[in-house]
Amino acid sequence: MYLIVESIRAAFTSLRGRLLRTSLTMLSIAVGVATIIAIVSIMAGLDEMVKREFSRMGTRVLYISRNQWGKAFYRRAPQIGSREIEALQRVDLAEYIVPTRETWASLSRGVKNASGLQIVGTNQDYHLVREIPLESGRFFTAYENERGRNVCVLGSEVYKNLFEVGEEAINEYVEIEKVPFRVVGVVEKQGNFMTSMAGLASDNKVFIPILASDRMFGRWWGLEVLVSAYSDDLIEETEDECRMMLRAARGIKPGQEDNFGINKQDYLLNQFRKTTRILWAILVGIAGLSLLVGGVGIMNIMLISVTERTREIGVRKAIGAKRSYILMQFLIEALLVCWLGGLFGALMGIAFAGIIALFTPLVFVVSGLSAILGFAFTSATGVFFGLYPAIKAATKPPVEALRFG
Amino acid sequence: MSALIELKGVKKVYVMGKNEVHALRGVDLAIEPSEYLAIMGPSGSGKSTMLNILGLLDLPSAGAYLFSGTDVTLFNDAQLAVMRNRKVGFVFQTFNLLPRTSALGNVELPLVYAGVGRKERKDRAIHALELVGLADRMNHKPNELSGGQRQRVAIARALVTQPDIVLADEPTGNLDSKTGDDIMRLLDDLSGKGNTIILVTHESFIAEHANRTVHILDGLIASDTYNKRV
Repeated sequence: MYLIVESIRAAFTSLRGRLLRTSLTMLSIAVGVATIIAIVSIMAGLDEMVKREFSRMGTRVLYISRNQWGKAFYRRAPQIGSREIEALQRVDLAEYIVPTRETWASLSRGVKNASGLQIVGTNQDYHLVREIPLESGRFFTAYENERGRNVCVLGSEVYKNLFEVGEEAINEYVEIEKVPFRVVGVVEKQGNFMTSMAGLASDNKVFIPILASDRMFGRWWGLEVLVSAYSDDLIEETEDECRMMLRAARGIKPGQEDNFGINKQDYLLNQFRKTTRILWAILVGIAGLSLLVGGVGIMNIMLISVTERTREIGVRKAIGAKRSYILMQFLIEALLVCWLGGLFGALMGIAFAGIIALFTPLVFVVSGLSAILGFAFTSATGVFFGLYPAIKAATKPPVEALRFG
Repeated sequence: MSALIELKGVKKVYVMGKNEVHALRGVDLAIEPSEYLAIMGPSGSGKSTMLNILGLLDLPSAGAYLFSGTDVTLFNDAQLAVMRNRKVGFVFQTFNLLPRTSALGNVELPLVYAGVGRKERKDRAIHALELVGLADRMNHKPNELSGGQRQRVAIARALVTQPDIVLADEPTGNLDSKTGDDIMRLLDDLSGKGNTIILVTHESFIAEHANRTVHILDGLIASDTYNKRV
């Protein structure tokens, strides 16, 4: 044990004596480790960001539609309609049942207009299920919904396109396809450029009572019904009950497969993770390459060091150092370079990931995983590339080593 | 008195490419405890090989080497390392100190390998440095010491484990004659205290310090004489 302590002291002495060379080698390791840490952190940040965005869809919300996400439509699957709504209303575990029907339309207000907006016809509970915070005003009421009043709630981007900065929108009128609607609420800014593009955030959406939507756009598309469970834990049971009710309502016999889909947000998250897994592997592979280059540098330096110190090795052996001790001494030297370089690299990598997170919507995540990964990788590099030079040093015959130089 | 060291029909053959070089051709030699022996011979005579074998740095190709009655030719690498550490002290022509380590650190090194704890190690190293008259310089690095002082550090390092034999390979070869004399007097002194010293040299005036001289020629012992002082 104390031989290890002595080896570490000896390694420090030896490394101090070759400061420039040692620092350059450490730098090459540091760059490799920094790349790995930065990539892992950035990827973890991306994952965290996407997870948060998807969780906005509600971790206790079931999306009931004509198909299961990621699968083709069921053959001759009927649209979700009022019969299914009635069935779902008998689900005891359901907290809210929110039908939605989406379409695309243009909005205008005076000379300003915005096109290609998603118009979501829904009921008064939508914002509760999707947990949409309002910047100003309110969501439309059950009364307005039942009467199919021409009222609307605007997404933050829609508001920005139709109103001046700071302009009061509540009780103003906007026209949806030339039909005037009274604005009753504006939604807080939610997503970022990625989630808005993917249609996950509500920033580019307009919410209106579903009867108003049906009156204007018809019922060509089926409904998607959002059913919320009372808690995350109950989502599976709620799903089972919904399935049971829907199957009963549609008269599906036992053994026959569903002709509807009950979806959850985690499907999308898993889908995202599945697609990014390959990206992960490639990026970590590239980072690993740079560490490999650093490792080759270590090996090179250690080989030079072993040759230069042949005589020292001979002397140490002459006064009683066993092979194992010489091996340990050189291995510890290589490991020390790797660890010091790795530590420096880890700090660089974390700083880099932090800077990236500062300027992008990515979440700054320093994971224990990346720390462990970094440590494991550098240790492996040190041992792998330090072993050969160390063996070379340890097995030098003492007579030849003493004669050297 | 039984021999401390006994070589019996020791041969050493080096294979250099297609040629075989017979460095030792059958050497018999017995060394008693507390002897002060000089091994002489011109270069190429095999005296370096002899030194390597005596110092357990190399093993003979044939023959037996009994160290305190034990045949060390059967030892493996680790056992030989332990023997070198405990039983043999080396003094080299070129001192061979570790350059970035203090005199004290250099003298402590054999004790590190012997597994001696820090406190005892330091005490014993200081004692060894006192023996060679360098206790006041123990924190100096080798490049801050003169040639003679470096060789004294090396001798302290050889003595610190209280070995059975001290092997000195041309100990004055890199020193001026005045300093060389000092070092030889130190070795004489150590011999007087009962240390077994084996001196390898090609200078007869150095060999004269010993009380027995062995001449090696072409891998064989040419003469083995006791000096007048015995």
